Amino acid sequence: MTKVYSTQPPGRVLASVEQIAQIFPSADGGTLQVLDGVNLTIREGEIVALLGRSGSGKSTLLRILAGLLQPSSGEVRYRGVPVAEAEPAVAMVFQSFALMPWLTVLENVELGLRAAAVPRAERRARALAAIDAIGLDGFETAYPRELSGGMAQRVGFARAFVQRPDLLLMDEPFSALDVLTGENLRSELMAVWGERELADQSICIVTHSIEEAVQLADRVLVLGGSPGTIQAELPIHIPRPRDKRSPTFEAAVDKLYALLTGRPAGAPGAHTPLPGPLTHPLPEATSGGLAGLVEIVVAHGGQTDLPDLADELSFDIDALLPLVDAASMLGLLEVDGAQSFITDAGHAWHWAGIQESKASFAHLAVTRAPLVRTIVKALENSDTGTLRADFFRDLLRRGFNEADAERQLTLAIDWGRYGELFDYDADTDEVMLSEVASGLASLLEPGEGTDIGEGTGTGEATEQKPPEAP
Amino acid sequence: MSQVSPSLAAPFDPSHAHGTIATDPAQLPYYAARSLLRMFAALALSVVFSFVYATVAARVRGAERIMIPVLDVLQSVPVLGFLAVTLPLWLALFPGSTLGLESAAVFAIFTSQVWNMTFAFYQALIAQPRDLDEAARALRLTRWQRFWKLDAPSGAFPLVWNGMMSFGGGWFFLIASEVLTIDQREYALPGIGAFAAAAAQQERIDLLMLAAAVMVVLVIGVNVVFWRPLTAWAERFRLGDTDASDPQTSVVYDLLRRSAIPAAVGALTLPLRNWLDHAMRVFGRTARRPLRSRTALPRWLRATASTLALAALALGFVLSFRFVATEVGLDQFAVTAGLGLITLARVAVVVLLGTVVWVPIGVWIGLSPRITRVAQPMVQVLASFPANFLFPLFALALVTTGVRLDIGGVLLMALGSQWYILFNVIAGAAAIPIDLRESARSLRLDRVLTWRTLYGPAVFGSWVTGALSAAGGAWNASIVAEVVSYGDTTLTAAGLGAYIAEATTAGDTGHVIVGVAVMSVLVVATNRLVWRRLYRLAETRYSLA
Repeated sequence: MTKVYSTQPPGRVLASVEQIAQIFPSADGGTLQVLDGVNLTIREGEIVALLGRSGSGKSTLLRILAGLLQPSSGEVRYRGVPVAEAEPAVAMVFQSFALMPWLTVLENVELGLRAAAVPRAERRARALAAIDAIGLDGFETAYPRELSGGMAQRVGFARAFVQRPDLLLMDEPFSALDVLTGENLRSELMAVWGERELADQSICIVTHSIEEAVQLADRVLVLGGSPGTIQAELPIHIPRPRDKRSPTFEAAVDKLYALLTGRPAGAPGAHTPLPGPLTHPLPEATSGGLAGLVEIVVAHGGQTDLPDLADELSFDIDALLPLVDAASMLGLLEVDGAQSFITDAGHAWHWAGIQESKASFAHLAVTRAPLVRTIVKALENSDTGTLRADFFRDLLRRGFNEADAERQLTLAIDWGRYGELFDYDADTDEVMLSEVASGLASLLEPGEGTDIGEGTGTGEATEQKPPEAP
Repeated sequence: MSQVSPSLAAPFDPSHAHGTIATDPAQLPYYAARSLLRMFAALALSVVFSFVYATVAARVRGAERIMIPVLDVLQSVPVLGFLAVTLPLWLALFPGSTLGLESAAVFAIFTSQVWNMTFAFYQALIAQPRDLDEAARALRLTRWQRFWKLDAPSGAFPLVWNGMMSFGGGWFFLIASEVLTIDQREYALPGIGAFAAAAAQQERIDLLMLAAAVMVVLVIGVNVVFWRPLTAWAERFRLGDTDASDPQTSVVYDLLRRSAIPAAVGALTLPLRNWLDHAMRVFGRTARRPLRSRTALPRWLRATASTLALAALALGFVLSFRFVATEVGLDQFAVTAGLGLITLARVAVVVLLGTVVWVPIGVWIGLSPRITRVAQPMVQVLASFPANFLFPLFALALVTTGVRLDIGGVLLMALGSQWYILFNVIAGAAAIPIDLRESARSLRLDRVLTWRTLYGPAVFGSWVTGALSAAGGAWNASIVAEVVSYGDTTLTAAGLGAYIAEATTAGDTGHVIVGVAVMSVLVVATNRLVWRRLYRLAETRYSLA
């Protein structure tokens, strides 16, 4: 499944990371590994795109390249020299622009030169030239908050260009802009880039937009998995300027879609551990969003091409994929490559009335969503059918950081409430079983404990309470 | 100002120092100038202290674990308690000159402003947007540049607003510290507070009213000429939500901005700034790596520092305990605890009365933008006006009506502190979204139900903020409100404030320490037991965000 294409890009190696791992402390005092065994080289003059879904560690990798983060293990080299000893000429462009709001456009662009102690006259001249080149003429004395997003990001580019970096690092630079502005700025960036003084300058761009990656990059690296690894590498040999409608472009997009939606290679059949809440987190999708997705797929005749769907809805894959993941977790959709099909369960859910659809959702959630099942089971096993939410938070913190644990719990509560499986009382911070769930107790195999680690291997039978009569 | 400063270091001879100053109205402008100078000296010190303390706490790893709790405790010590405890120190530092008294007065004002401002700046540093921090590191700014291009600007908005609020509260302590009694002797510093005290001593109501009028002019004048322009300027340092619905504006600021002054100042200071920018490179660059991991002190140094700090703390505690045990007697702790409960009851009544009276009025004002625009600045002036200025008048009223200070003291304590409740409730009510009000109206909720389901919950958070400030103000006021005099009559109420005030007058440091310590413990205890819980409730349940 993991296919590494051999590529022979031109130029010498400018920057490289070797066997990078990044481990952050997690909320419960343990650790969370974000990256593992990542190797990456960037050669002179090439544009590399790091593509991945949110949480794949791509921004972390970029920050390690920038020297903003110290990797937990592994080495970053710059022109062959370990980065701790080098003074790498890198500049960074941020998703949120990261302009000092209290400095004018000119002062923002000059800031890096001030730090480098460039003399005043030269500083001014270089900054004005950079402002001119990126089309910001006349905005020199404006403050960032007076600028539209597109203009603000131009300042971000000017600030980076004026430092004449060997390596330009960009962290989703167009994703905070609306579609048209992003498109426009992207092509202007490529125009400015084409006229650069030194042909050996390189770009590394982080993105979650497949089209953006295909449009800009000489090489796309797909990050994924948990902890994140580089799962595939795809060279893009399409002549520039690239036409989005050309068959080669579309083929590259489809290929990357399939790589992104595909499951990471795991041992098939045999001994896959039972899915647990920590190994199979709930995708970031609400019950309402799921209903919307299923409705759209049904409207498309029960089958749809995901890139087309994303395009049609002007969705980023970051917004669409969690919904697709959730739908396939619940068995409402089946995904094959870039295609998705509605299942019988999905059909049934779509055409059911409000009460029926809730019941069938409850059934699917209890049987197929690990965290929902865990919560229902734990509540069944408690005497009162009620548990403090902190109980689940503590369990989740074993595998997630504070924010993610909270998000998982919120999602589970949303799904549980929609299916009328359990409810949550914000005042007492308690999760309580509702009557519907009691009836579903039979769906839970007696062998499964409430342990939410790697599922249960030993199959210790926990005592099963009979469903309470309503 | 040049006329003001030379006499600062005038020789101080206790036998010749005046316990009172001349009540010549012609001298009032000079007194006002001296008072203003004290206020601004304290403000400047507070800003410098906030910059240094907050930066170290936020940037040196492990430092915040000691520095922030210390700040929390210092914040809970009543300001006049600081003055009472440190007064002997100031006098010993500058023997033979009035500089000691001046320092004590400036220190009192400083302690009333600085903790708030330091906390605000620290919070701003901690909450600094990650992307700006990363940008500063990626740009390789020098540490000096980083502070002035990122840290100071990102904290400027909260710092200016907190400074303005604290400055308003500072007037109270200016008035309280211009006339000091040490060892049964009264010393007065030339200033508007001493003038008022002298007028009260001489039973001259006309002069007292005149001084009050000058005081009002001072408060409003400083607001118009200094704080309004400053807050308008600070708008540019506001982070996040860019379209402020109601940005601060100031005519003075607009005039100043359009004049040639900023450009001239910029040009004049350019060489200096360039020189500093160059010279401060010795502090090194902002590390590309995250600040915290790089500036961490070596482990042994940290261990030694915290051990030393703990040892010093323990030593200080043991020494003062022994001092108290031998000089004062431990039974005083029981006495002061009893008196503290009496004062606590007064504080509670102040908050209760302030709530009952001002919450309905505040909501009424806040719901009408038209009235709010007029009322808000007035309340601000009222909150800034030092209530202790008028204490002699109230003492006179109490004497003539025969009401005991035990009861009337509540009124004196409420005089200055109640406005915080009103001020905050107005702001809270003004922030109620219009659609919620419209839906309440369309549901035809009656008055009781509207209060219970909308106004009450919506202003709860603001009320907690206001009531906490009011309680703090009342504690502080108790030290000057439980002993008041007019002419030769002195009224005293039973309470911890009176205990501290009398011990200060008698120059009895041991009793002062006991009183201040017990009061601090009471303040901390109520903060923990009451206010913190209410805050949490306000944040989790009644937040409109």
